[in-house]
Amino acid sequence: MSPLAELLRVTAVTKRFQGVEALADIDLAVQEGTVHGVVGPNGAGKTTLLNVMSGYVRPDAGRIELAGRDITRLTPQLRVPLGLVRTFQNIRLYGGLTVLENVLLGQHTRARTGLRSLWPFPTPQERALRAEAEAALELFELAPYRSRRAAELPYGLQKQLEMARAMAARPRVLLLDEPAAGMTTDGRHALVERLHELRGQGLTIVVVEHDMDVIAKVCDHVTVLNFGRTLTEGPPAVVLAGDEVRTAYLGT
Amino acid sequence: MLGQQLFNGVLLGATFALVALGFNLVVGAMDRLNFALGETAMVSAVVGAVLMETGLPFAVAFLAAIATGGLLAVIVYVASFRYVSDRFPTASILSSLGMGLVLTAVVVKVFGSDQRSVPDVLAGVDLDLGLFRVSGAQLVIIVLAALMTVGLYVFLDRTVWGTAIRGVSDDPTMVALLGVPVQRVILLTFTLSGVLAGAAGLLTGLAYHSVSPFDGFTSTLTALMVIVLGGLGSVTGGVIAALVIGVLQTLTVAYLSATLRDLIVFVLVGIVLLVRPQGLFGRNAGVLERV
Amino acid sequence: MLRGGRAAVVLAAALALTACGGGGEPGGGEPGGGVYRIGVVTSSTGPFAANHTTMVAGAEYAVKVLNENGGINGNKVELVTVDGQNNPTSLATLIPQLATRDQVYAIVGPVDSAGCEIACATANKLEVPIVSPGAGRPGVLANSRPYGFTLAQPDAANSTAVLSKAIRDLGFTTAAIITDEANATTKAQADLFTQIFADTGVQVVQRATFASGDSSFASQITSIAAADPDVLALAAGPDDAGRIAREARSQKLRATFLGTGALQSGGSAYVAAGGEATEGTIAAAQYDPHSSNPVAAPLLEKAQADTGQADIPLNFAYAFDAVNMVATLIKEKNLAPDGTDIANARRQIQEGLNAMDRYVGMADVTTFAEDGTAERPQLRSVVQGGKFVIDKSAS
Repeated sequence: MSPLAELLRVTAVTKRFQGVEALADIDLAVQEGTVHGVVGPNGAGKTTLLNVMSGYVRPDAGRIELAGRDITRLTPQLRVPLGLVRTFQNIRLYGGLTVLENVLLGQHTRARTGLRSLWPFPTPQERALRAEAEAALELFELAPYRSRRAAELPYGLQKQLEMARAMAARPRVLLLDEPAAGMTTDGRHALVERLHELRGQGLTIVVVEHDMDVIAKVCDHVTVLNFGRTLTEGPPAVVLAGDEVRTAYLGT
Repeated sequence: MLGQQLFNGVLLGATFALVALGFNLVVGAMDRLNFALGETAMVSAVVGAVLMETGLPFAVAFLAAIATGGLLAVIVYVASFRYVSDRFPTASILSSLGMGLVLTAVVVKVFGSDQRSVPDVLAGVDLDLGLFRVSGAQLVIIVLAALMTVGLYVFLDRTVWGTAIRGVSDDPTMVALLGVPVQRVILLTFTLSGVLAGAAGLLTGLAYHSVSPFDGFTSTLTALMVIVLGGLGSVTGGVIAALVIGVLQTLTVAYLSATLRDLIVFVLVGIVLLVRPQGLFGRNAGVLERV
Repeated sequence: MLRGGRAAVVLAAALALTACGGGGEPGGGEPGGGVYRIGVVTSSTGPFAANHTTMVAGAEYAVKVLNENGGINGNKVELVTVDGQNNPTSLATLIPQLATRDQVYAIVGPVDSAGCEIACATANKLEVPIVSPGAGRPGVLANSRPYGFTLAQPDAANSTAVLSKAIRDLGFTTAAIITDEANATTKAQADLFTQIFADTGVQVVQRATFASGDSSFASQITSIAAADPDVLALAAGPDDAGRIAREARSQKLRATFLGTGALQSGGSAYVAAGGEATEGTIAAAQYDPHSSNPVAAPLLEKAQADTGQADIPLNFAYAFDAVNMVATLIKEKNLAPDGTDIANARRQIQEGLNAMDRYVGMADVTTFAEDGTAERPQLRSVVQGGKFVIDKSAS
């Protein structure tokens, strides 16, 4: 498949919460195969933008397109099979389920779920998915914890598991909400490496992040939000050096 | 004789466990109690008994009973849960209680209010295991109840849908964000609970030799005692609590008095509620503990 | 009530005038034209609805036969049937209605003890003779004398002799008793069994209890099976007794089942619930649908032919006899039709019923005791081929 110029497009999106404009006429285009950063001070509308993209929140105006298809009115449940998957700022795992089962649930939309799937003896497809889930645990360094309940994992591993689970759905676009928050320095290094790796595999990533170091290292393109509006955008080297950004966000 | 009485108790508990499992599945998926489940079991038992009377083999009657249970549970879901707003958690209690009354009334209308005799199975079989004897019907009951319970465990543990059910039970909004079709998972959960109730209904009928249109609410009440004792939503807790209550009831009748039977169970459940309000097996007692 | 009573007196006087207009003898059985009304109290709902239907059929059949044979001295007999719908309030208004508006000579029904308790007491207060074709609870007529009667003999009086003889005949030495603890009638049955076993020297080796509506009898039967008694006395309602029988046989209990007359009268429910397990059950009985009594036999045979029933049910035969007892007394005492001097007529019927000795009808021999209950034949019945039949060899 030939790379599309714009895989995910947000056009003129507005979202108000009790009269306050969280997002005001936002335009944003994510190129396929790139890592697109969204930065801005607290309350700038970053997470709202991610919620609108993933379908968790429906915009008051504007449209969202994935690979040219209008997905504005689709529920998150229906966006996942199209290739749009996200993680959360405050981790949301199935605490009572095992690490492996969390990943298996991430695969749910890819599993064939006819009557045959009710029978407990796995089909070849189910076996393949399980093998893939085990491989994902290796990749995300979670294999030793595969049978542990997710809630028992330390914070850093929970973040890794959340990403592993998101990847299990084989997304075309991965939406990450503050993946570096609460991480140690080592954890951040590992995260940067992992994002590079995923980008190398051709994955498109939208990342909302506070850590400018991470943004500078992984992003191809950065959008800066302030008060629900696009302040500026461009390559990180240019944008992060700009005066406007310093004033609005970093200068304080 | 004690051995035989204990076996009687386990047998009784095994049928309680199936209904309680049905309740707990729905509790897990929706945090709601389906008060029509006892009547679902009763209708399934009546259907099974009618088919057995016509001379069909027990296997056919059993399959028909679990199919009836599954189908009724779906109807109850649509009628009493699907369109009830999340803002009124008590509304589904009343709507499902109402469906239970409707089911009883329909059975009375169609089959009359008399209790219906349930024919015996494997009448010739009588195993003497030393400590206790097992009749053919008891063998069928204990084997099928065990198979269904183990089957449920394996299903929840091993299948794509089982994992999804446990996911919904863990965090329904989250599951939707991962693309799991929550409504279908809930529908499946109701179907499963109905299948369990249907099996419980006919097996109970076998144990009691009869089924009455007014058995439904009694089953519901017993199942409530079981899940309160075992811990709301806990699968393992439900099974253990069902066996405990079955044995306790049997021994009370055997060595004390029939009129004390329910009283002792209520007192036990009351004490557990005071000392351990989350039940013997609370919510976070392990992966499979909760659905 | 007062107005109704006065109206009744006026009406009765008017009727008496017309009746006497022909100048016949007072109270005379003038042939033709007149009507004797008999009230029937049924109940189309409640646990005894089926028994009431049977009773109504029996009463209607009696009237049909009477009228075909020329009625009473040429006057027709007519039933006035009211439906109490198993409701005490309805009964309390329907009985006065029968007494005053319908001018009935006597009332037949209800068959159940609870209904009779109310209906019979009300009729007694209004001084209308009332005969229940079935109420058998001890003390059911306590507030209904001297006008209240029942054709059924209370369980204890009827069953004791029959069961004691059966126990001696069959040489039983050990017994167990299973009792429904939540029911006054079945507890009384258990006391009766205890007394019978004590009197006959049978050792009670095990007692088990259950509560009405209990479903599993596994535990109780296991306890009983451990004691391995010769007989198991069923102090239980017929449905429960049937399921006890099945559980007992499935646990290979070999004991013979024993029941009072109540079990026999609920025989079809017992056999329906218990199936083959009930075969050989022995119970007391007070009515034989195939009696060989020279008066009863032809009546039963004719009823079988006319109604197409192989076995004439108890309530049918009792209702038939109740109507005929009243008709016989009307004829004997030469009472005038159409409610003439109705209060006197009712009193005479009441006195006649109380004085009646060994009335023989479709249900064999009946004599009313001091308390208005009947003394009935004491028969042994046994379940054979799926129903209770009278064991004539044992009587």
